[in-house]
Amino acid sequence: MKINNRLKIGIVIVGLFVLGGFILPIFCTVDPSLQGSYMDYAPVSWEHLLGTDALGRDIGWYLVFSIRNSLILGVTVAICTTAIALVVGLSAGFSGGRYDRVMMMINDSFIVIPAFPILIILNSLVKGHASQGAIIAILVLFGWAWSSRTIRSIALSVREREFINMAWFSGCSRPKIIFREVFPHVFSYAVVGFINSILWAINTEASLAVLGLSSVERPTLGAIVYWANTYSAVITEHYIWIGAPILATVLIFLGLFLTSTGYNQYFAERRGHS
Amino acid sequence: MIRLKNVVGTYTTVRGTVDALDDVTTDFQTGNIIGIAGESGCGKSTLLKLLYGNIEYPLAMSKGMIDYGMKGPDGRDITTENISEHWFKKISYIPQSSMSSLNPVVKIRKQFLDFQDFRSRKEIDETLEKVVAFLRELDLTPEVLDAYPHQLSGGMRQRVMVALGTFFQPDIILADEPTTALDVVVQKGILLLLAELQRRMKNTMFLVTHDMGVHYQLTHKMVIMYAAKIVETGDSEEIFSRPRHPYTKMLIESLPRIGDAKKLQGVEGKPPSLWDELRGCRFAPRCSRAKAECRERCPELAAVGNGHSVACLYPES
Amino acid sequence: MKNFLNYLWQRLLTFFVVLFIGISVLFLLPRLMPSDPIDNYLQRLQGSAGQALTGEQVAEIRKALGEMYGIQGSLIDQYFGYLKRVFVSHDFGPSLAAYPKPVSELINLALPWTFGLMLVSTITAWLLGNLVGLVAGFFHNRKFATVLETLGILIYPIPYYIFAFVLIIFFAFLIPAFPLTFVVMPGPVTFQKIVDIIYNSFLPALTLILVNFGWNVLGMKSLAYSTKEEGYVLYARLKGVKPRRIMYNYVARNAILPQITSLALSLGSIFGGALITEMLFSYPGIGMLMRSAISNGDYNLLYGTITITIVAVAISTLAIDLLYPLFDPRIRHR
Repeated sequence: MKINNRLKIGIVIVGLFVLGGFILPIFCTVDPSLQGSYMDYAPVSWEHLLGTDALGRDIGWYLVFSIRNSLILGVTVAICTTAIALVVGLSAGFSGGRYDRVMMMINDSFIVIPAFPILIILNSLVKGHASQGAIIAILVLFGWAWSSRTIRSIALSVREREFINMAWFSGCSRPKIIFREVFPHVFSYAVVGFINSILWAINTEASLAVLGLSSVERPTLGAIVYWANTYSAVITEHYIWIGAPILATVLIFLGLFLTSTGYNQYFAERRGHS
Repeated sequence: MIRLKNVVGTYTTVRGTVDALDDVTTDFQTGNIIGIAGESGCGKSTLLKLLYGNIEYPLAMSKGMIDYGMKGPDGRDITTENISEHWFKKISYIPQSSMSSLNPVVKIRKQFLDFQDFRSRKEIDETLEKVVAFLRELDLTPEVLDAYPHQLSGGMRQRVMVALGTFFQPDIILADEPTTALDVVVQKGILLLLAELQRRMKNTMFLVTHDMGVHYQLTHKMVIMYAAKIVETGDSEEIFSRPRHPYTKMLIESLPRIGDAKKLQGVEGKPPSLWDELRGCRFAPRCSRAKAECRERCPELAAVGNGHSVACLYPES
Repeated sequence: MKNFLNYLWQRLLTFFVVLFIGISVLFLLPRLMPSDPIDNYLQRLQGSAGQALTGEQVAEIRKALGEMYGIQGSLIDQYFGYLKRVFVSHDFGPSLAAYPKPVSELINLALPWTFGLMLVSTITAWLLGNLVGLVAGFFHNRKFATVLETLGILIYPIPYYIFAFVLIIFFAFLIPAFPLTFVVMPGPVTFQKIVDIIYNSFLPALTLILVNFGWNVLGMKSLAYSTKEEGYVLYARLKGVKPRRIMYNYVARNAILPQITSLALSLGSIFGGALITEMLFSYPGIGMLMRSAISNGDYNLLYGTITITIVAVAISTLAIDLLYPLFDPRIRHR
């Protein structure tokens, strides 16, 4: 089966970021979030590939750590949301009836309620020092519902198909049917949902950080933009400081999104042929 | 007379090309109900697509030509190239599923009007008057025009499909299993309606169905297809009483008869894959009468008298 | 009629569930915190303001906060007290930064700005995105369709703040065509003022439109593409209906239905995006109010704005849900 270009480009981009984000920090000698490690506003050089910022931090290393931290946050949230989405979506889609209706009502409510203001409240309650755990908890609480909605509709359509009835009549138990017969069909959608959850979580956390509403001491893709913005990198014409993280963010989101739509397409084509 | 000359219908797929209709030459007499029978994949729907001029990638008419023997209102001959300009006016199509063929969010009225552009309100009203009169002829109340498809019963919807397909009194009507999705009682009503309309309009109706009983009761002529070829054509009565091709015989024997003590014969075996290299008679592997020659030489459709043709080296007598 | 009532009933129920869950999370959050937010707040207020907070005032603020978070009485009492404040008296207490101005007054001033921005940008993005997506999906094998879809793919995953920064860099610095922050003088509504408002709102609106445009293009493209394969579209083509009519009357009319539902569902995240955008452009709406509430440690104002956000999203979602039957006769009739 030919892998489409979207998936290829997406995997290459995401792969580069993952490798860079997790391998490079091994070679880092100075904690990049420490202020005053170097001269302020050092120009681009071999020592500082992207220069340093207004607080004497190496922009390149800061960016590397930001990518790593954001990816860890995204993946953690995505694992939890996908697990919840699978449980809710499969059980609702497979049970049908009143349980399904009630679950979907709750599901839709979690989609509708905006997570962003809730995160703002959380942060202000703890004076801008929300722990990573608390942020992840809120992101998970409001992040599972989109995937679960899709998975439920897939489960619902799979349920109508012939082979499920076969398994049903031949006496398979309900959990066994869900896992043996429905899961393979749901799997690809879960993968797409997983990647989209990573994207969404990184995006939401970064948006908070950019506004200074998250703890900006920890390097994340949002925090680095926050610092650049706070020190008016645009006005003072330190374009690398704000440009590099913006470019990195755009690339990483594009990579994740290409992977998810590319995988979706790949799976659709494979199904079409079998 | 509608003439097919050496028509080949080819599909392009990732595995290569395959001829779903292979070198078909035949004449259809106009003014008849022509039944087309055969198993799934025998080329029935490809034949319909080519006849209708609905030829789009991956399907292509790679060889041959169809002579419709009709002229358009502009006086030009209707050909495969320009037939789409005459869809529903000269040649129409009745699909098998009325539920999925009607736009669910638009009233039936609009679906009677979107064939053409109207220049004035008056034109629309005139057309609607004709539609109402026509619906009455089909035992449909004009109220269906104000209904959405989901508000009608399956039988009513299929009547609407019939009305849409026959409203312009086309010369040719292609009915592709028009009753498969309906229950038996409703089926009968629709089929009788089709037969009645054809008798009145004197047009040519191609009726595709798996149901040999329907063919027996309704059609004037029969076309039996097997593995992309026509294997037998002729008057329906003749074909049902004296089938000459062993495959036709097999199909007819699958029909139940009152007072029949014999256990019903299903149609055994499978048609050959069109992907394989096909030598000799395509039915030979399933034929109980096949001889060595049958596996070597491909029989051509040949007249056997009474307007009856058969493609068999050793036809039944 | 039964279908419709059923639908109505379900939508209303969902509306209340949204409010219930949203309000409950807001209610529970401070109670799950390890430290008392009121003490935190009072400490900070006295630390930063330092000045003229008399013991009386402190007690009053403590009482107001206590009521706001409903820290008096049993948990159930607190909860109902809170609900009453939100839904019946619309009383979020006095603003602590602009004491004693009531929070609801500040919100009433800011709400029309946010509403206007959201309405204009969401409708523009939705219409434009669906139109482009429809064309891209309907002519999916043409080259320009691939270009349009690629455009959607490039736009959709980019966060609001990136668009905001890029637009600021381009249109406020490199080509100073639009203002960096929102400056409209208060005063009577004149033609000049309307022009000013549009001019000043352009970049924040464009940010919102761009992101939602990408999302709508992608959604509509795949819907239009799959709708094209439906039996009724094939039948219409065989009827000889003109392609343009097929695109509008058949594909668009059907594919738009899931897009309406999707709009209703994504209003929450669109609103979240609007808040971010307002904060970055200093647009004088709820988002800006929220931001100043955070930097001033004005808890009453923060709670007020966030509660109103959830209520506004719930109401707008319900509004779209109630409009939906206009487009789908299957719910309207029988």
